[in-house]
Amino acid sequence: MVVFAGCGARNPPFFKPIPPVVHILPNRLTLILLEDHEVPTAKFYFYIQGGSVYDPPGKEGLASVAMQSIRLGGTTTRSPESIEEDLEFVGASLEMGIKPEYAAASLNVLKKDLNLGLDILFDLLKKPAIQKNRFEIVKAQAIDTLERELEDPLTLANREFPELIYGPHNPWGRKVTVASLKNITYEDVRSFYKNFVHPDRILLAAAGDFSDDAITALIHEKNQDWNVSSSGLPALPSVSESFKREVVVIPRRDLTQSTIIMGHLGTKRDNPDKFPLIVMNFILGGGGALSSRLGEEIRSSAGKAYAIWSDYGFGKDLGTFRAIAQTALTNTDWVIHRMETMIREMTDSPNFTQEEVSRAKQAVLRSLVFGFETRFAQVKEEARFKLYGYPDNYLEIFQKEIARVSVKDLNRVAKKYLHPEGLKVLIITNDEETKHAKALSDLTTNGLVEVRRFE
Amino acid sequence: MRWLIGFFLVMVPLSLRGDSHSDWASKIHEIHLSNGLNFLFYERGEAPIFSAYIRFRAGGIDEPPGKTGLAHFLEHMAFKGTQTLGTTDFKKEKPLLDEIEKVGEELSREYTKANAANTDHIKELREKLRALHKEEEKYIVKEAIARKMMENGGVDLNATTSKDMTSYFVNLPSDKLKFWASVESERIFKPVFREFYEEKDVVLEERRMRVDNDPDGRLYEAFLSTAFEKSPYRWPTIGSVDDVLRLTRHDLENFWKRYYRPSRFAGVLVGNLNQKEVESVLNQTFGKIRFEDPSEKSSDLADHDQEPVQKEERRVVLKMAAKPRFLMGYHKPAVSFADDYAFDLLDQILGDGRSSRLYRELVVEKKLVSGVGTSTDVPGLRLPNLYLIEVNPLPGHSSEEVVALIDQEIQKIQEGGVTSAEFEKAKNRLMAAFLFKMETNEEIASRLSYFQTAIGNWRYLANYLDEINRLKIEDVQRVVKEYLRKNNRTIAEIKSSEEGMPSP
Repeated sequence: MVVFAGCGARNPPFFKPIPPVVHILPNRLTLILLEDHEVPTAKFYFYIQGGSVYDPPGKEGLASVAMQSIRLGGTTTRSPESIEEDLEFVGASLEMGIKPEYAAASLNVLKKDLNLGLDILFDLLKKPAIQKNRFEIVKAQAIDTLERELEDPLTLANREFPELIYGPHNPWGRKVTVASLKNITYEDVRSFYKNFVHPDRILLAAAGDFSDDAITALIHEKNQDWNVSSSGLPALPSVSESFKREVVVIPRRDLTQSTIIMGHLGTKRDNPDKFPLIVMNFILGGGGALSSRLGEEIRSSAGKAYAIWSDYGFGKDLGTFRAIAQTALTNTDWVIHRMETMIREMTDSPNFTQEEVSRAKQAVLRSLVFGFETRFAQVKEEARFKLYGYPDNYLEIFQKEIARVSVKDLNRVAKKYLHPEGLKVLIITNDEETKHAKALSDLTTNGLVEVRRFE
Repeated sequence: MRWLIGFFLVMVPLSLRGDSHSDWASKIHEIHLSNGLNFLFYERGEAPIFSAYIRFRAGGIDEPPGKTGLAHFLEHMAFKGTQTLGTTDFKKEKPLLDEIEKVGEELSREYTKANAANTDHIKELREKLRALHKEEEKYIVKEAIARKMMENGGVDLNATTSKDMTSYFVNLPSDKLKFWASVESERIFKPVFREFYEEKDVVLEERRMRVDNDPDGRLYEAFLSTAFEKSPYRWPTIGSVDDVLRLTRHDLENFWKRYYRPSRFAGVLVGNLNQKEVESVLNQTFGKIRFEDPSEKSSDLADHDQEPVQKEERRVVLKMAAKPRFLMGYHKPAVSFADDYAFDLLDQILGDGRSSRLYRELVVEKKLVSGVGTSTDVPGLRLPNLYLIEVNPLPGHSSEEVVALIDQEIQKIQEGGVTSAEFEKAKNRLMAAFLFKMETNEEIASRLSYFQTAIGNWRYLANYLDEINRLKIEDVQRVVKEYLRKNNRTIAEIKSSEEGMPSP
């Protein structure tokens, strides 16, 4: 496979990365690895299919608390204290976390401590003790951390917006709350471990100062006695496509700035229109605060925002399209109006120029080579592609498809996939500025503005 | 096709790689241009990319009094272009720029009157500025620098300002070296500071986002202004609203002229590039820039107000609708080699990591806090600075309770030192962390340029692990005894208010 570091230029420089080695172990764990002898270290990243989207209703946050409890709760042969001591004594780091579609575990270790690091990690995955007092600490930390995070308007907005898009009952829209965290029991965490942490759900990306054969043998050995197999993941209710206008205001009296997110449902990651949509979004707001239409108009020209961008999400189901800005209170109406107008113009009369499209494509394609900066970055990305079910030559397909995006394609997808009439708008602002409340009602066609008190 | 030969990269067979990593420093080339600009070049990496880092030893502490935020503002303005980039006709633009500056200076004089300012006059002047800017816009090409960088495959283009320095960085594909050098040398050393008054609005927005609307931002500002009485470390890098409102483009030009010059400059290139080409390109671009009095080496030690010794504990409390937290800072000297390494070790032992003393005691044993962390060289290291402990207490536990426990842990080390296992562990962790930060071009370029700028010696990085190994276990106890004393500290705290209104 060849990665083009440039595209559209007559004879671009190019680069031939080494393809990773892939092994599937007898217990169905998939290993994707590359040797890297520049520095005497090794890095591992485990993708465990599943994720927080499977949290039971009313117990949102379970997967996150469970993974932390597994990480910090010791094993049947190692106490929690001894694990921290052993890892930190050799300067190794081992972390676990959660994303919507997968749980993750990572290990960074010096070459000389490979065996120790992998031993501890596989012990935690295979025979966790999940000590109850450690679970209690994790739960208390999660509640406290959530409350602190929600002080930040952007974090608050990012978490409230999915509920607006998907509804409070769809798994993609449910959110972690203090109440849902408080509902999580010790038994829930143990059940999570039993139902979700299985080798046949794992894609393990590894790169470092080891030999293919040696590391494969080592990981085989760690997996010999791990033979739990899983039934499939529970079915998720599908997202039904609907574009209904809605405006929600969350008042916060301590703010001098408004945070605005507007958007609607996106599309799936296996939709071939994804490629022109990536280019379209780059032009609209994905190119960053300094080089996109939104950035240029609202930050550079008007000076009314510091942070402004857009993203078009492709999900397992329908993703989310969003445009985001933060601006002074007095500018709130102007910025909302401008953002909305620019989205409407992009679908009604896009005016994409050949130059604009070439520039965007160039930027997207040229940045691909950075995914190969380190061998670890490369294998981690390959593993993620496999997780998403992409074909083995996905990167080649990606390059080819982006390269052939035309102005005509952009016009087509802008018309089909942008829905200004169905925009959901979330505004976190200081509601004591009453003129905002009045002006905001102009945004909706049916006068529906919900003012939601945030507790 | 010269570039084809230069950049077609066949994968290097594995047997040729794996040379001992410990001699990486010997691969770093110093490039001294005839006009005094100095660069470092480190050839490494497989992918045809490189990272470019430029830093100036010019930050918040170098600002004249009453002009806080100047260094950071300059960082923003360095993206506005040159006489050729960012404009369609500089000849027509220039008279407008001059007119704008005249009005801007009058506006600044009005703001300086503070409460006696004529708000009508201010409104009138701002209208005038708006009208002039509208005229100027006919000739402006927006965000030309950023666009050009992105089009050419630039990734992570950004800049930062701290109290100590200002930094500009980007990653690009290897065949863009010449492009980078010609654009960068021009926009940094031959800038046109267009749209100065418009960018002020953007900077004020940034201040709102980072400080006014962020409890941690507000706490940090209060903390620094209490811990420091005279040192310029007491002012926020982003500047106060009053200072920023009064700044003129003239102020900016003066700062730029004084500090954006060879004696304050460090440039670093790391990545898949050819040394001969790097030297040639740098000479042809950066090397052609002329500086007035190139041999001048402005000293900064005399410029800064000396911070008097703190005699007793200081406290500041902010009441706001936010969860409680506090910062504890102890004064320590500016980068002083013996103590700095000892503080790095202390960090590992005291508060960094789950087997550290404070984490074990406060999070696991006593369950008083949800998180604790330590850091050194706050908010910088060019001047005497702070060792910082930050804590998030859990509900139902006061800061007094937590501070008492932290004091106990500090006292244990003052009286009994640290164990040899802890000492060994701390050294191992620093060594491992060092290696883990040598993986990408950007990390390496950042660290090399950082030390070259902050202390004038990038070899600090090359010698770091040896120096750590030379430390004695008593050194850790020594710095705790000498600096972590109650009368040497400042505690800044957020207490939750009931009404939910922020305090003035």
